[in-house]
Amino acid sequence: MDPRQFEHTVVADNDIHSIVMSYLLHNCFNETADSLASSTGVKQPAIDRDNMERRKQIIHFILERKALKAFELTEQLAQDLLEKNKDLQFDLLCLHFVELICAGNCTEALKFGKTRLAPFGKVKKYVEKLEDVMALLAYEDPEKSPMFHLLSSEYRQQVADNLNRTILEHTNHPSYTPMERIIQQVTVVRQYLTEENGKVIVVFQYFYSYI
Amino acid sequence: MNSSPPPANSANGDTTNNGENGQDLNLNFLDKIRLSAKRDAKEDEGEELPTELNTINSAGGFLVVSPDKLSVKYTNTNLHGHDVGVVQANKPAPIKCLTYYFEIFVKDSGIKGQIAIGFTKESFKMRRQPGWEVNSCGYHGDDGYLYRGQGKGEPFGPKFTKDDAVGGGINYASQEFFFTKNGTIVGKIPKDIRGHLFPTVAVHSQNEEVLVNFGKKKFAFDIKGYEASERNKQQLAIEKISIPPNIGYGLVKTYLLHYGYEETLDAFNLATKNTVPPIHIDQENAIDEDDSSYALKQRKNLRQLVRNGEIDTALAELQKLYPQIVQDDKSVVCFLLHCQKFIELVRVGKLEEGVNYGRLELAKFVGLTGFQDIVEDCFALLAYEKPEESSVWYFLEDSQRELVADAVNAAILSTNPNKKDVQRSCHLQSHLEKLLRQLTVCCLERRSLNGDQGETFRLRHVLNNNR
Repeated sequence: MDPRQFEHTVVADNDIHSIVMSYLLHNCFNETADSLASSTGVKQPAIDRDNMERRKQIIHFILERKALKAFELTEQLAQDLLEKNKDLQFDLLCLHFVELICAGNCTEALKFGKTRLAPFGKVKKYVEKLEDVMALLAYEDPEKSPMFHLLSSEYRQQVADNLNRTILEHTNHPSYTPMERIIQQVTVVRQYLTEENGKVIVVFQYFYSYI
Repeated sequence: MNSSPPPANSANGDTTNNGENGQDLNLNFLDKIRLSAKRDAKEDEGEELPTELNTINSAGGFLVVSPDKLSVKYTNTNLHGHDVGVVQANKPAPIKCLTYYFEIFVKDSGIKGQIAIGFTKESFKMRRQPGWEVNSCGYHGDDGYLYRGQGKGEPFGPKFTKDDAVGGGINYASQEFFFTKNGTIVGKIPKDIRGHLFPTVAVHSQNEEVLVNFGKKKFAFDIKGYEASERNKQQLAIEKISIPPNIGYGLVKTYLLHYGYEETLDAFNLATKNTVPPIHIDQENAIDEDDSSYALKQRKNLRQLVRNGEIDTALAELQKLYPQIVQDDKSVVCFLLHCQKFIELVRVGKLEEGVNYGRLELAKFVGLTGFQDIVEDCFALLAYEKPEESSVWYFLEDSQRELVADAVNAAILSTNPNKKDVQRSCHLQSHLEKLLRQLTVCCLERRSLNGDQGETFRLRHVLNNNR
């Protein structure tokens, strides 16, 4: 591949700004988006502010370990969303269970587990996770259990991301940002060029720290 | 309007951005200006499309093509297999797209209904049915067979006759031919013919008459829908790719640092303080964040000055803080700043002052290839009563100020003593921009490996069709 092609490829600044803007709006960074709009002069696309505010609240509740509040807000926003997305419903309820455990509230957790989580055990795909989650009850220090990742902020972030995307999809918005699509495209094309044709792209090593 | 840029030379000292061949890497900013000029132009690949039948090489004597060159009639009484009335389109099917498609409508199936639609090469023997010779393919109405080079065809689809609309297409992504009848796909076969192919129509018995549609009229088949579903298939494959966590966060953060959007960065840091776990970057390959935050305050200030059109102050600040940047008066950065000053004078209607300034500071760039076209376009602003409605309107936009601000930003970043030589060009664009350029180039490369056939990456599509 001719590296000079790379030097001469031009990308419009507005496109770059748009990509960042859509990322910010997708993740509900509304103040940052406002600031970016005034810094770059790029207009924010007309989006549903109310929708974004609510998603922001919901995401924050999850990250702040208030999964039940997130659950309620989601139901308010879109009544049948969680019914139609049982996986998510299960994840949220599990998070609440984990919160109870971490707060040392084992009786409460047990009760919650029996009433709200156990019914999921009838469906095969939830069984393994249900068992993992309930097993946390057995540990004095859940952080030291093999299921410690369920307590992690990364896991909460993951559930929050899923819920964010599902709400966006449910309310007829794109559930993935252009930025993510671009990253996926780069990965696919790189794979193709490397595997199919033995060409290794050496020029672009400064990306390897991110991808 | 001037279009393609010749390479530019400028006298560069050590402190400016030099690539291996000594060219000013900031030239990319000039290309961005040219990109603005082409904004409204359609993003086509410069291929000519088939529009009508070719009367020059058709099998004359056996058939008659109408004056509008969009229908053909077999006039002879056929006697044998070498008196087929074949006609090709005037241009080959374009290849730098996802699909190509055209249709025929059978007006009269004549005595034997031996009509065919398909694709042939330029050198095709024009007295044989498409598909009866190698390197051609044809879907025949009398037997519904598909022929692709062998004498015997293979059963393919339904026969077709009077009042049927039959279409032939090429799918470059899957490298297949496909055919349709009355709006429905009949079938597809692998395309193993290389090179340019001509849409081809053939008639072979007395009174057969066929109308051809190269896209001027609506097709019976929903080709757009077909393309969309093909793109969807590719898209679904792409969507399965897992995205490393926090990569968006990293790209946005470095983007904000790169451009010096300090307030936005503060807002972003505040918003993500509690949400994102710290990124673990492999130290060997790490882009040092501290380098990106180099001279953040100064870059922010300079950006604000340029954005407000205060070019003189900006130049003074640069002279004070980073004299090495403005030392070479013929560098891209100086050019952009002087241009902007000129533009600012035009913006407020000080045309005479503008002309004087232009003569003083911009005239020296006229001789230098690579700058000339932009200087000329700039001066063209003076020619219009309402320059904002002219073809050079983009110079008056805030986006032009942004562009100059970006160039100044990059220039300041280049003065960072910590930057290793290898990463010389790193600071010219943010990672996000580099990522996009890489994607564009990789897609072009991928297409060229596919015989240069098919669509390439279009950022517009990703931004507009985001599902």
